[in-house]
This record gives sequence, structure tokens and C-alpha cells, in this order.
Amino acid sequence: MLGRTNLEGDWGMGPIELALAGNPNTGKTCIFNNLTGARQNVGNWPGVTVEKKEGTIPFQGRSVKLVDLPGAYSLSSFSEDEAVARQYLVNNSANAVINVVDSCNLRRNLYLTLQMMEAGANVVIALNMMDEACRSCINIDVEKLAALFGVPVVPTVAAKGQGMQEVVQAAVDRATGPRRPFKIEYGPALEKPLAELEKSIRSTAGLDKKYPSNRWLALKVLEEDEGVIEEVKEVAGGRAILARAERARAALAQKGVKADSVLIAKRYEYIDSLVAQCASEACSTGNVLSDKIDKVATHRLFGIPVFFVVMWLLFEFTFRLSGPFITLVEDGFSRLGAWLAIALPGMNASGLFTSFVVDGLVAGLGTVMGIVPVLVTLFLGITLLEDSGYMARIAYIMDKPMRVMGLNGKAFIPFLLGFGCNVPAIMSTRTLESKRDRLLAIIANPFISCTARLPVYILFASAFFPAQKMPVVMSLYFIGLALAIITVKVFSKVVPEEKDEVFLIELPPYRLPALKGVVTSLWEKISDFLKRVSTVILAAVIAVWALSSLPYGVEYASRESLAGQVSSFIAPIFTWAGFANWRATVALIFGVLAKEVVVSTLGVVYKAGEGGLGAALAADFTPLSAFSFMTMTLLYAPCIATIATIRSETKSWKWTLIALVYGFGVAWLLSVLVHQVGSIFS
Amino acid sequence: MRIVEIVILATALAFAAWQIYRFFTRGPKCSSCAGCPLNCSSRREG
Repeated sequence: MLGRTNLEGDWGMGPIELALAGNPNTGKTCIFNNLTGARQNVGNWPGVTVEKKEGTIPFQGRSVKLVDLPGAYSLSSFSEDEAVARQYLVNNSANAVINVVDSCNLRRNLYLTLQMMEAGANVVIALNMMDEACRSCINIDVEKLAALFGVPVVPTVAAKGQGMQEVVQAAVDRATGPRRPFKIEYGPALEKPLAELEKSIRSTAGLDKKYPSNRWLALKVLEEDEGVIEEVKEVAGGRAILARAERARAALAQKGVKADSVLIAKRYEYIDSLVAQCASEACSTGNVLSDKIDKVATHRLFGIPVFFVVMWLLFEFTFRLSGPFITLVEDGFSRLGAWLAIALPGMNASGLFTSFVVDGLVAGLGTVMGIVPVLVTLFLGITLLEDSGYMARIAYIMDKPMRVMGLNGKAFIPFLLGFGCNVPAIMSTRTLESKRDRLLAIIANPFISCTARLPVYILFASAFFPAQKMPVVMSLYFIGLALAIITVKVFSKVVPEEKDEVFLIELPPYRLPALKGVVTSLWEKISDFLKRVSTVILAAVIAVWALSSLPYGVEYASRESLAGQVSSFIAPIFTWAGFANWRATVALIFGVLAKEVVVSTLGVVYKAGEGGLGAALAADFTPLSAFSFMTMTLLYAPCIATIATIRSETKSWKWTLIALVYGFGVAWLLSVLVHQVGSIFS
Repeated sequence: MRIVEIVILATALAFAAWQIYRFFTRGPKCSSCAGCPLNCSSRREG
């Protein structure tokens, strides 16, 4: 239900609601974080925010609510994230909207500004990234822009926290003042049908004053805005208005006038005249470096090889830097386990309790904690890539290969996110406009190797391929990516095709990541991991230890234990894959809780607390079966949270089940293939 | 077995049961905010 504009603007000293709106990647979330002290994820690439987020700002004793909206280029809703922004803005829920504008791209950014003003929003422009505009020699006459547009304009540099209080002050002043109507003249050809449509809307009780303004509704109906048309259809008398609009469009077409094109052209005409009066052109030295890098990074031939080199460098950086620290942590836990195994019985602790501490806690958690140095360096590398602006380039260069497979480059963004965690990655498919593309991207996403799977690779690669650790781990990432792309191709044959979606992505200039931002983001990621260790992973460690100790009196972690009995029953299905042992099976079962649990479970059932897990694994695995097990871990099933997300995002148990059965089938086939083909050569 | 050991083991098992129950009942929530594009309510503020 759409709301009504409060034109009176009498807000007294009551709560004020402000919204942050603007094109993607203009720094809205950065401003939100600066003002509210929140730690929303930010990145130098479009699509970082896909849902709106609320926070509060203490401001001069008043309660000011701030809403961060996903980026949108216009108020015509296409994808789900843009629809969120549009619905909120059209509802006019905010007392004022802080429109975050990229100073280096005034012309394109002001299109949304204009649309919001037409919709009756109380706009304040935050002219962000003014430092970059200065570097590009773009001179903007802020006062003149404000005077011409009739709205307050505040220069800001969100990354450095500059102009934050000023922009809130301007927005609060605007929120408490009256709303000023804004109108663009679209010329006699369009003004006549617009006036007639407005008149019809006024006489339709269900539509009059329902939208920001009757003129706004007339414009939307004339330019065939799908969202508005669907709503108008439902109102009594709405269909008559749509028919009138249709007739008006036909009449205009006869004169060679395409209504929606003229509306867009007129808006840009207005913006161009305005920009010409108050902003200078960028000098040629503008983003020269960015352009030079892009000549190679987005080259149609070299782009993909460059991507592989960047990935290789990321892994090289991760492994080289973290190697000595892994040994340090593993040795520390190993010594602690050995010491406790002697010290606890010395303190008259029972065998069961000693086993709980040494075989359970130290072995389970120690194995997982050994991975922290790798995660710190990997997350650091990913954060640097995110902030640099390279992520958007990856989506761009992947457009061609993705199209061959039946999707466009935009669908590669969820794949990139999947390297972090599949849950937000699947949710981020909301940025895709086509339902078919969304479904394909969701089903393929669990094959992308999330960071939770990395501990398994590190453990097995260190134990069985110490000299080729990095190539082995990288190969698993590429197997996952290749299978995700193949999955898209396979399912694109099954899911009916929709109209081809145009892929537009803004390539932001390369930026040097800010130290504060990198440290905050890194800490966020590491603290999230530690939180998982202290909750679900710890719980799984205790549960696996208990199941390996029961029934009471059984030898710990033996085939006769509960864990052993159940897993021994299932293990034969992995015979052809080369790891039909119950310990590997129990690790895979518990790994569905969270993938790091595979490693902690192996630590518990192999009693790694009293010695190294790597050595213990050698009794049950060969290098070939180890690689086969890693392949299985990569592909066999997403974790519980991912399964639940697939269900909630597809809203279909059928597709959730298909994704699970297909995933397990592929995992089994591939690990069998690895082991059987490998056996021929070994 | 000493009473302290029993208390620690019982607490650990209760903790594990509670965590796993919570894990399965709290709905389709992700376990990590790392790299997340969503502004969900579970994310910390300030």
C-alpha cells in the first residue's frame, strides 16, 4: 500500500526518519556506518547492499532514524533490491532523503535525484567523493547547484568521515521544513496527455492522492512502469486510466513520438543544462591510472588470464604468509594436548574426563584453530581486492563465458560472494532481474568453495601434498567454479528461457584501500569465525565426542561406539571413492552442520589431541583417496544454513531437494572418478 | 568420578544440545556475516 506525501512537513520535535538513497557504489553504506556507528559491509563494487537497513543517530537530543537503501539507478523497479529502494521512496516514508551522489558522475547520478524529486521526496544532496572529483579536476560550484536544483547540497568524503554532521543537519532542517513541489516541463506533445491523465486520476477515488502526486502517477502510467501498472489494474477505474494511457501512447507514436524515450531525454536535457552551469568537465588526467589498469584487467583476451593470476597471487600470499603461524598454532595445541593427557590423570581426573578435554576439546578445537592464520591472510587478501574495485572487473570479464553457459556476468557476483559464504551469496541473487537466472545461480552456488571448506583442504593438502599444497587447494576452488558453471549450463536446458537481460555494471575507479576500513572488515570476518568456533563448532565437537564415547564402557572412537556403528553402516557407499572408513563418514555427516566441523570431527575421532592429525590420517588415506575426500567435501552438500537459504529464496521444496540430490550425485560421481581414474595411473 | 567432572560434562552436553537446538530452530540464518551483502537484523550495531 502506497502512502501519501506529508506536504505540510509539521514534524515538531517528534522522531525524524531519514533515508540514504543513490546509485550503486556511491558510498551510502559508508555514510550509514559513519553516522550510526554500525559495521555494515561496504565494498568498492556495486550490489554490496541488497536489503534496507535501519539505524539511529543521536542528533541534538532528537531521535533520528536512518535507513540505508540498496543502490538504484532509477525509480523504475527491475530487480528485487532496486524494488526495495523504489517502494520505500515512493511510499515517502522518510521525512527527508539524503541522496548520495558520486561527484565524478554527476550527470548519471542526478537522474535518480530528479526522479525522487518528481516523486515528492524531500531531497538533500550529499556530493560524495569530492576528493576524487578534485583529483579529476572536476570543479563543482556547490552553491550554484543547490540554487539551481532548489535543494541543499553538502560536499562529503564519506571514506574520511568528512561532511557527515553537515549532511545530517541539512537533512533534519529539510525534514522539518515544508516540502517543495518539483516539476519538469516535458513539452506540449507530452504535457497534454499528462494533463488528461491527471484529470482522470483525480476523478478516480481509489487513485486520487494515493501516490506521491497525481502527476507522478500520470508519468508512470504513460511511461509504462510495470510495478505501477500492476497496482493500478487492481483499483476500480484503474483499467480505464491504463486504456487512456495506451491511447495516448498510440497517438504519440503516430506522430513519431515514443513517450518513455521523450521523458528520459527531457530529464537528461534538464540535468545537462544544470551540470553545464555548475560543473567543469573532468580533465584528461582524471582516472588515467584506472583506465591504464583496465586496458589489461578487462581486456577481452587477457582479462581472464589476469583473473587467474590475481587468484594465484591471492593464494600465494595466503599460504606464504600464514605457513609459519599454522605450524605455531598446531604445535601449541599438540603440546597442550600431550601435557593435559599426563597432567589430568595426575590430578586424579577420570579417564572419561581426560578424554573429553584431550580428545574432544583440544583435538577438535585445536584442529579448527590451526586454520585461523590462513583465514586472517585470506580475508585480508579478499578485503583488499573488494576495496580496490577489482571485483566489479571480474564480473565484467566473466560476462562472455557466463553468457555461453546461459547466464550473464551479473550472475557471477553471487559466485564471487560464494567464495566467502554461500548463504549471503544465494541471497544476493536478488540483484538478478530474471527469475530463471536467479534459480540457476542459486542451484549452482553451493559448488563454489566457501571459506568454511578451506580448513579441510589445508588439513589434507598439508598431510598428503606438502610440496604442492597451493596448487592442490587452488585446483579444488577451480573444480568448484567449473562445476558451478557447468551446472548453470545443464539446468539452463531444463528451466525455460526468459528474455535476455542486459548486463550493465559500473566499473568504479581503482582505489587504494583505507587502512581503517581494511582493519574493521578483517576484524569483522575473523570475529565471525571465532563466534562460530565458540558456538556451533564447539557444540559439534562435544556431540561427536559424546557419540564416540557411548555406549558407556565402549573403547573411545572405536567402530563399536554410536558414531562408529551409524557411520560404518553408511561408509560402504564411499568404497569406490576410496574412503569407506567410518571416521571419514562421520566427519561428512557432521559437516552438514558447518563445513569446518568436518575438520574438528576428524580431530575428535582420530584423537588428534595427543599427536598430529596429519599423521593419524595417513593410516586411513592415501594421497589419492585424500584428494577424492576433498572433492567430496567440496561438493557433497551445502551446510544447513545454505540449505535453508535455498528453500527460502526459491520458495520451493522441490528445487531445494533437486539441488541437494543433484549436488550429492555430482560429488559422488566426481570423487569416484577421481579415485578410479587416479588408481589407473598410480 | 568427582562431582566437578560431572558438572562440567553435564554443562558441556547441555550447551551442545542447546546450541544444536538453537541452530535448527532459528531459521534460515547464515552463520557468518563475512562478505555479506545483506543488511539483516542480526548484524551488530555500534
